[in-house]
Parts: sequence; structure tokens; C-alpha cells
Amino acid sequence: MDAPSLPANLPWKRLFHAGATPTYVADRSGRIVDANRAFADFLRYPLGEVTGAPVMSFTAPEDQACQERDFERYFDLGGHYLHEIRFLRGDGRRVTGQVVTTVVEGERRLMLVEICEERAVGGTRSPLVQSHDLLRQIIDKAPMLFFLRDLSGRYVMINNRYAELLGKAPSDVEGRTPHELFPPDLAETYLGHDAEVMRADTSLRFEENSRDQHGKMRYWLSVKTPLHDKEGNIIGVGGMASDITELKDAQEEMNNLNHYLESANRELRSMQDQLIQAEKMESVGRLAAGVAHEVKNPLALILMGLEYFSQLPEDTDPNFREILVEMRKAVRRAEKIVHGLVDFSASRQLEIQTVDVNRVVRETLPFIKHDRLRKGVELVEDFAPEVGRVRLDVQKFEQVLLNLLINALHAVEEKTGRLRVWTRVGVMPEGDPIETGSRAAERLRKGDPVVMVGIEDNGRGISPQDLDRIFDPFYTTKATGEGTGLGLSICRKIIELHGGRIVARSEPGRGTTMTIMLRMVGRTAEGGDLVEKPRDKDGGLVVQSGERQDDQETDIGGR
Amino acid sequence: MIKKRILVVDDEAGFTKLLKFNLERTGNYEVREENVATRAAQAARIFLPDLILLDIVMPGRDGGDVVAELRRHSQTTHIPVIMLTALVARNEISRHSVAESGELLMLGKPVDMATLIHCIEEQLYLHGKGTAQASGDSAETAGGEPTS
Repeated sequence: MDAPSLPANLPWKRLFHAGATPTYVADRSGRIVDANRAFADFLRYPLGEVTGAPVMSFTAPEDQACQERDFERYFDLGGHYLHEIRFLRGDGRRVTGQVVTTVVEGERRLMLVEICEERAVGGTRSPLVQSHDLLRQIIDKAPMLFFLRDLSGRYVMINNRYAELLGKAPSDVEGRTPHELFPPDLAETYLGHDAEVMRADTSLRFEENSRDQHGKMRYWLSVKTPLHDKEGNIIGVGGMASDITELKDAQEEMNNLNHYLESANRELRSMQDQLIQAEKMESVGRLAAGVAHEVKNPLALILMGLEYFSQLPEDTDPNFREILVEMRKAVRRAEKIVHGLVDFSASRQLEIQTVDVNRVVRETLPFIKHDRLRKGVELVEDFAPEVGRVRLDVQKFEQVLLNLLINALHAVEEKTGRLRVWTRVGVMPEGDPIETGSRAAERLRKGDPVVMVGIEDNGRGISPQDLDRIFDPFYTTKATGEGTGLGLSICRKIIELHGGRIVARSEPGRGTTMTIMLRMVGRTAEGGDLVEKPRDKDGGLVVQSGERQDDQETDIGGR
Repeated sequence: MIKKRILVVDDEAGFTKLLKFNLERTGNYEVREENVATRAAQAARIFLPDLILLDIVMPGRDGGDVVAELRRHSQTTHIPVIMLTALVARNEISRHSVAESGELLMLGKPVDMATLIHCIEEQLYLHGKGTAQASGDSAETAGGEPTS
């Protein structure tokens, strides 16, 4: 025996050798430094052949790699370990030993291995071993993951199912840490949960996930329990995890379904609102058309009478001429109101052309020139050339611009008044919740590129209460007879028919900005192969007497 | 100068009466009124006017049907017709059968006399019935071309 042996005269050594429990002492290299007779008997080898030999020469070759790893770990960590070793006996039989390995501190670290229980592979088993086997069967066959991890996070045991999931044999997993088996974030999560359980020293439940051997994400409900040694020290964590992927998937599906239902519900509501609005508009439209007819006939009659009187001699009465002029104006005004009402309610078809926005805006400005100069109001034009062309109904768009310009002109002070009319390319801001009429498909969405036309004034501004209502029909702050209260509601309707948006911003005392946003025409349409149709699209089916271009600017109500 | 005969068909008797006063005062027209739509075509066959001013929305029969009946009878088929209507929007009119009766001239109520006379003279001229003098006068007073 040339191996460095323990001092032979120590009393414990005698106890060791006399002990009935098969026990041996091994060093870090796995060499058996000392062994008792019971161990030699257990192995069916003479004691002399056992002492000094590597443990590996008495164990199953397929376990050796795993065993080496275990021993390394035991040496590094110290402490007690309960595990199994499959031994090869001198008589050629295999036997599984349930062993307790204790790392002994001293001059150098040694490992004391006691075999507490043995069972022959394929042989008869003790009831305990059998029950252990049954337990093992449950563990291996249950559709759950079982595992034990020690204090350093290494797998001490996993069941077959867990190993399958990892695409490895259990022996390839035991001894490894989650870091060697999972992506770092998952490994951190698992070990974090272990630590939590050990800190709390009680069972905890976690929802964990991992990818299976096919790469599919699986979800686990994992119950982790702290494990204790006989003295009550925590030695690791045991866990059971059941697959809740299907549950999760179903839940996900339900969530999706719920989302879908919610959005469908929202859409339904908004459609309902739109329908109600459309119905309202439709009945207002019918009413307007009816009113128009019934009011215009008596107006026609009154006008005929006025026409007759206007041919009478001048000297009939001193006030005669003036009275006729006033009455004629009243007839026109009544007619205009009826017109505005019908304009507002009738959802007329647009005559869409692709036109140069800046040109349309620029050509509208002369209509207010007369009034503007009379009031001494400055006009600043700020047109961005890149806005290019948009698709719009020129006449209706001009009607909108004119209305806004006249409103702005009315809002500013004489001499100090200033209007700024600008165009630019922009992006659709957050959607306006109060949308009516326009269909969803045509509606501008947040982030859509738009052409913006702005009309800014430095006038008295609009109070926040009024600002909320300026687009409502019949809402006016002007005195009776000065405005119908339909102007801006018609403006909004026309812009919405274009699939655009009109927005008012105002600061009382500082001024108001009305911004029109229209869908930008793609580059191809801008290429110029679209021939612009003649501007005057009026087919002239209906001739409204006196409705000529020069009459247009007074034809529009105010806010 | 021979006066042009004009038949005015409108259920509003007050309107036709005042229209008659206004037209006849010019000295150029002889006007007959008809306030019952169902009798309009018959009145036209008896009176044989040079031009008809016809309302669209009338109880019993609308202007479009009257036009259709006028066109069916050889004595009245070539008589020019001007529609007078209190309807406003284009799509309102298209709901009525007049839309199918072709290029009828329409005037919206209320209409001033200058425009009305201009249109009457234009139609008479186009149908070879107008006088150069009357046409020239009206063009001056109307102060603009009606779109047609």
C-alpha cells in the first residue's frame, strides 16, 4: 500500500474499519484512499484490491463522466450529498448503492462515502426500494416536470419528461446549471425563483416559460419547495412544473377574441352613431328641401309683386324706391338662408379634379380684396411649393376658403388686422373623436401625409366654449340677419366629403387659426399626366337668378 | 308687332297672376294662366302658345309628365318650354321625370323679370319665333348670360 494513508493509530480509524456500513474515503482524483472491510465485501473484492484503486474501476462505465463531475462539485462545495452510485461487483453483477457522500475537511479534502442501501439491478428489491421505484415511476411518467437543484443551482435530479423536453438524457442534465441549458434570461429567472423560495423558506408558485425541443414556447406553472437536510438546513430546491401552454394559448385566444369583440363593438357603436347622424342629416335634408320649396314659392310671388311695383312712376311716393330696394334685399336674404340650409343638408356629389392647391388658394384671395383693403387689413401669403396637387372639388373648396377668409376678416380690427394664409405639407395629428359622415376608409389616419391650408388671423379669437360649437349648424355669434350660422358647418361638411379634416385653434384676444387637412396626392398623380379639367364645371341645369360669381362672397354665412 | 303667346302653368294662382301682369305690361306678350296641372296640356292645345312656363312640383301631375304629354301631341310637340322650379339642388330635380325629358331650360324661383324675359326671348329666338328687337332689349336688361 504505497498510497498516503491516514495515520493508522487513530481510534476513529479502527471504528471505520470495524464498521458494518460499507464505507470508503476517496481523494479528489477519485482514488480510494481507504476502505473498510464491509465495503470490500459489498464489492466482492479483497480489501487489498480495493484500497488505492480508482473508484471508477468499480462503477458502471456509462456513469463515469457524470460521477467525475459530481465529485468535482462535491469537493468544491463541501457538505453532504445523498445520491446513487451503480457499482460493478467482483462477481460481475451490478448493484445500485444509495450513498451518502460527506466531504471531510482536513489537511486536504477527502470524501467519505457510506453505502446506506443497496439493491441489485434486476434482483429482488426491498419494499423501500420498491416504493422508491414506484415513486420514481410516478415522477418519470407524470406529465409534469420534476427537478431538484442544489444550493448552487445545479440539477441534482430531473425526471425523464424534463430531460426529453431538453432533448438530453437525464444524466446529461444532472450536474449542470440552468445557465448551461437555457438562454441567460431564462436561467436567471429560474435561479431567481429558486432564491426566492429559499429566502421565503416555503413553497411558492411561478409561471415560467421555455422553448421545447421543437422550439415551441411552452408555459409552465411551477411549484417550488425548499429542501432541507436532517438538521433543517436548506440544501436545495425541488420543483414540479405542469404544462399550461394550452391553457395559455386558450387564454391568449380568448384575449384576442375579446379584443376583437371589443373593437367590433366599438366599430358598431361608431357606425351606429354615424347612422344616427346620417339619419338626422337625412331628415334635416328632407325638411330643408321641403322648406326650400314652400318658402321659395311665396318668395317668387313677392318678387313678382316687387317687379311690378318697380315699374311704377318714380313720383308715386317719396319713399317708394327705398322700400322696394329693402324688400328686394329681404327676399334675397331669405333665399340665401334657404340655400344655405339645403347646401348644408344635401350630400351632393363632389366634382373632383386634381389641382394645384396653391393656385386655388391664391385665386380665392381676390374675392376678399375689396373688403380687406377697405378695412385696412394686411395679408401675408406663405405658400409652400411642395404641397403640389390635391384632389378636390374646386368650387366647393373655394366656398370653404372664402367662408373662412370672410370670418377671419370679420374677426380682425380695422388697420391693425392681419391675415396669414399658408399652405404646407404635414402629417395628420391625432384623430378627432367627433367625426361624422365620412366613411372610415376615406378617413385620414394619424400619421398620414397631408396637405395643410391654414387661415390665421390676429382677431378677437373664439372663447373655448364657442370653439366647441362653431361647427354646429345654426350656431352663430353674429347678430340676427348677419349670419345664418351655417357657414362653418357647411365648411366642415364639404371638407369631410373630401375625406379631409378641418380644425379650429384659437386664443381669445390673440387670434384664430383654421386648418384644413387634405389627403396628399401621390407622386405619380403629381407627375403631370393628369390633364386639369376646365375650372368652370357648372353644367347650368339650374340657374339661380342673381347667383353670380360677384355675389358669392356674401352667399356664405358666418360663425 | 304680334304679341307672343305665353302659357303659364303653376298651381300657385297668385304667382301666375303677378307673372301675367309683369309680362303683359311689357306689351310684348299675351299671357294665359293655368293653375291645374292636369288641364295644362289641354290648355296648350287650345291656346297654342309660342312658349310655356311650367312649374315642376304641382299636385296631381308634375311638370315632367306635362312635358311628356305636350310632346305626344303634334300641335304642341314643338312648343318651347321653360321649367320654373322652387327646387334647388340638382339631385332633387333628377328625382323627377323631367330629367329624362332632355335639354329643358330650368329657372329657379324666385326669379327676377330681367332674367326671365332674357330666357323667354332666347328660347323664342332659338325656335325661330323671336323678334330681333325684343331679343336685343332683354339681353341688355338681363345683364348676363344665363348658363344653359
